[in-house]
Amino acid sequence: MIAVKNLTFSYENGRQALHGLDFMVEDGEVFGFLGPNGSGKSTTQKILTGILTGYGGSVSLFERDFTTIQRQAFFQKIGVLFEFPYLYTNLSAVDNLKYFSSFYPREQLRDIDELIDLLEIKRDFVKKPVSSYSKGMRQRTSMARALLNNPKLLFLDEPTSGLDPTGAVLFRRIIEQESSKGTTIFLTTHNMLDADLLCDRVAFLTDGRIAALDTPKNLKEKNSSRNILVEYLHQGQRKNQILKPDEVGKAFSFLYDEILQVHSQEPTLEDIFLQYTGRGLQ
Amino acid sequence: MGRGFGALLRKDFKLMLSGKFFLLAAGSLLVYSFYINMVYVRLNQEIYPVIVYDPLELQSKGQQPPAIMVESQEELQAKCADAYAVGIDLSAGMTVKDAKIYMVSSGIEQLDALCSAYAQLYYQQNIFQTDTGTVSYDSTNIVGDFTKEAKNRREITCEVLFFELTAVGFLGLAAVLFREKQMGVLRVHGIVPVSCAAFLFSKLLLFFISDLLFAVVLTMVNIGVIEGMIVLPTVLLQAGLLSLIMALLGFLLAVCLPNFRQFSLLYLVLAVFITTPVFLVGQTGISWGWIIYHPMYQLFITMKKAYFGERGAGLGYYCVCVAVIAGLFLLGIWALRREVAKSGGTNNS
Amino acid sequence: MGGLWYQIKSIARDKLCILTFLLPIVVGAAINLLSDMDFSAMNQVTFGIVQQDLGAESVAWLEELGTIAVFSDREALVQAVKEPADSIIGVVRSENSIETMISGDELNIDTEIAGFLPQMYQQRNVAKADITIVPQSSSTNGMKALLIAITVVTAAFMGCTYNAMNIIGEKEDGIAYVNQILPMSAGGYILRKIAIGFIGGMVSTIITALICVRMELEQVFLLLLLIVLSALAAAGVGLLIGDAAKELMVGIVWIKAVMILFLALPILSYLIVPRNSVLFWISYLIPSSAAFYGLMDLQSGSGIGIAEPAALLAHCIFCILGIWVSKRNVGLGLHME
Repeated sequence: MIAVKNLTFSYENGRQALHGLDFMVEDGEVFGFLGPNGSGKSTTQKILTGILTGYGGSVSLFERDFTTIQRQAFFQKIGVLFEFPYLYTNLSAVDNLKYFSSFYPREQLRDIDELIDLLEIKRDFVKKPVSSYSKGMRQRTSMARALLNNPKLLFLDEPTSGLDPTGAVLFRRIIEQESSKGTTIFLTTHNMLDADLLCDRVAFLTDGRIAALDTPKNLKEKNSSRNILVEYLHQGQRKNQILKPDEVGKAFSFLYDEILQVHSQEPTLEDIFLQYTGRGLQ
Repeated sequence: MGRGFGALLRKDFKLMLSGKFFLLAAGSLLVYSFYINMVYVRLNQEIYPVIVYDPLELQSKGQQPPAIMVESQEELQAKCADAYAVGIDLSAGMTVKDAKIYMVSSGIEQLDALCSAYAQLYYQQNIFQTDTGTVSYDSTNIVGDFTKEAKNRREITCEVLFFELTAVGFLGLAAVLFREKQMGVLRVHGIVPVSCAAFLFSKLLLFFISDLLFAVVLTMVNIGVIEGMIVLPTVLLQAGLLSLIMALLGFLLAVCLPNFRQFSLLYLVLAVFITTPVFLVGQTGISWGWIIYHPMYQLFITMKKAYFGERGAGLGYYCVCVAVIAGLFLLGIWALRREVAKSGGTNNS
Repeated sequence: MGGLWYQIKSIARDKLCILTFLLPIVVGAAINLLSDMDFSAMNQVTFGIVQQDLGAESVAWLEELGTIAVFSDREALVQAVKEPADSIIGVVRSENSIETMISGDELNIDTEIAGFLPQMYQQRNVAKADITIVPQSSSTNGMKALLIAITVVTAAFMGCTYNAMNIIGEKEDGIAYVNQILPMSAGGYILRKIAIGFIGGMVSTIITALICVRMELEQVFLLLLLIVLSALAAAGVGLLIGDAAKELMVGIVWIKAVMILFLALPILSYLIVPRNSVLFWISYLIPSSAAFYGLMDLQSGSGIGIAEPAALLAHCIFCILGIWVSKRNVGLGLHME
């Protein structure tokens, strides 16, 4: 779906933002693009969405070189969720969706009511101006806009930023649904939990270079010390001890050659939030 | 306190600088002065031009003012089509009664009557040399103190200064405050040990000084240094009052309104609906009885009187002005305290 | 163009645009409602007299020539004559005739009338020549025509506000970023944005014209042509402003500057610059000049030449081509970072 070879880019002020990126994204894959601020994530996404031109190297999308691609046909096939919810604030969610749907072929469009239900946008609000929405509601409307044209390639920039845990879980579920439909997803994020839960592969970008690229599982395995921190109580005092895998192994009753990982069953903060607020997803 | 106020002054001055306020004021000064000196002082209106068709060559030479001679009646009618010129057709005969006056109506009966009376007088004096008495401008009593140019200069300089202080001054302080609101620093002042009064006073002081400087330069450049020096004390008093009122009004609205868009709406209303009637009545022959209750009219007329060296307004006027300034200042502080006390992000919708 | 409805809906919720739309209509209605007297007062000569000074016959004669302002005593009359806002000619009795007084700061016409008035007075009963006063083809007086032309041109060129504000609003809301990834060509984008300014400007202008312009039926087509071309040129100008302005404050300042330029220059050149001079032809470089001159000519009943529609059409083409070339090369980036 996406093939990037030796991608370089410099801004007009001479600052080189990208120093020869190489990566490929397969059809239907969820590809995470991670990195700190200023590492070149947004620049790469802007190049891949056709907003920035004047780059070096080669980029091909939908098995065609980007320079020869027909722009309108390309934009019909992609969906983009920006980091911030860009909407007409004086129009309602429905009006915004109807407006943006006017740019795409009718047969390609998803039903707006269905999208509103999918994104769980409150029915009381759908006809009120977006200016009266919370940040989360705006982000949900923006996601609906990105999904409006049934995109084959979906670019998501910090999709769960500004969402409450319920919204974040909903967005992850929608991303998984899109992925299961065969949509290729290019996910730019700071959120490691999102990347861990959603991405088939992730690339770590730093200073315009890819520092690592693999599946989250492999990356964690490769970089894990495999040590375990055990917190325990002894004579009324709280203590902790770091155990090496071999030391841990001695305590196991089953046969093994090597311990690869030890997972904690400790609940995440999100689980606790859902438990306490009682707001389930279904 | 003194150090804090100094910092506020420096900050506001830098905001005005970065907002290109002084550049805008200097540019306006240049454009206004160019317009006043190159265009406005030259504006004039001459007496109705006289078009004469005289195939029999009856007229005497050296008419005053000179007539425009035409070759045919059609040409005479064409030249009179602007409803301003007046035509005299002498083709019918030798006597006064044979002359025909031709004109296109101006749409106003009295103006047509005046124009035709002028044409009658013109042909009797210049063509048939009837003794109508001597036309002598010396016999007209001149009772005023100014020439046309001096009046035009004072009139337009007053108008420009009034407009600059009313509309632009109002906008200037508000624009600075909106920038601070947009940047979010307005709320930071809620937790900085500087009083709201000092925050408002520093802005007011800078705009007040810059408005007075503008008034001084505009007056000196356009009505002359000596004449300017004579009227400047009273002009500056009026400019100072107007500057404070408008800047405080701009501040109050900028604090209360959520965004610049709504502010510009009010600005439009102020510019069109509030100042236009004042200019119409103050500068033309239009008279509306109710205008004396319009506060801007009172401010405008008092400034105009200052430019023409006339006796200004009474004590009541100044008491009202001071009360309005004090009231707006207190309201401004109250609104600012309320604004900085608000929590959460700015509403940009 | 299905999305155009939602763009118009968005504009219709912008109070600044609503006020912009209504302002010329309200002014047009006000011009229409105000009696001719109010405007004619600006052209008429005003004679100031002192109570019980002139005889009834003299006062009646003066009333035929202008408006009369009566003052209680000579002192009050002198003060009124000196008042710079108006040009009152003081008229007082002098033996068997009259005497005039002026301030000395009047226009030449008033000085001349004051000079001639005693002689006119003496000649008032002398045998008169045959006078033919041809009525104007339009009943509108000069000042009213000028105000109507200013109002209609304002309405037409205010059209630039709608699409300029729409584009600036899109930049502020971040929609400009979304525009970059929509399947929309530069031509399609320009067409949508021009349509907003054009429709807004045209509707407002037509309503304004319906309220305050009165002309022969055969000239209505020419008026409509001027309105359509003006609204189109204004929409092109709005597109350029919207594209150039990076934020709302800058946009508002741009719109105000353009409106002042577009209104002041045509009025000044119409009143001051001779019609066939080079300077007058140069004034056609401002798009509103052609509309303004055309409207003044139409109101005087003389029709319009080819220069006015041709100049407006040239401005339309220039604006639209200019923006199309820039958008075709850089996409719909609209100067966003």
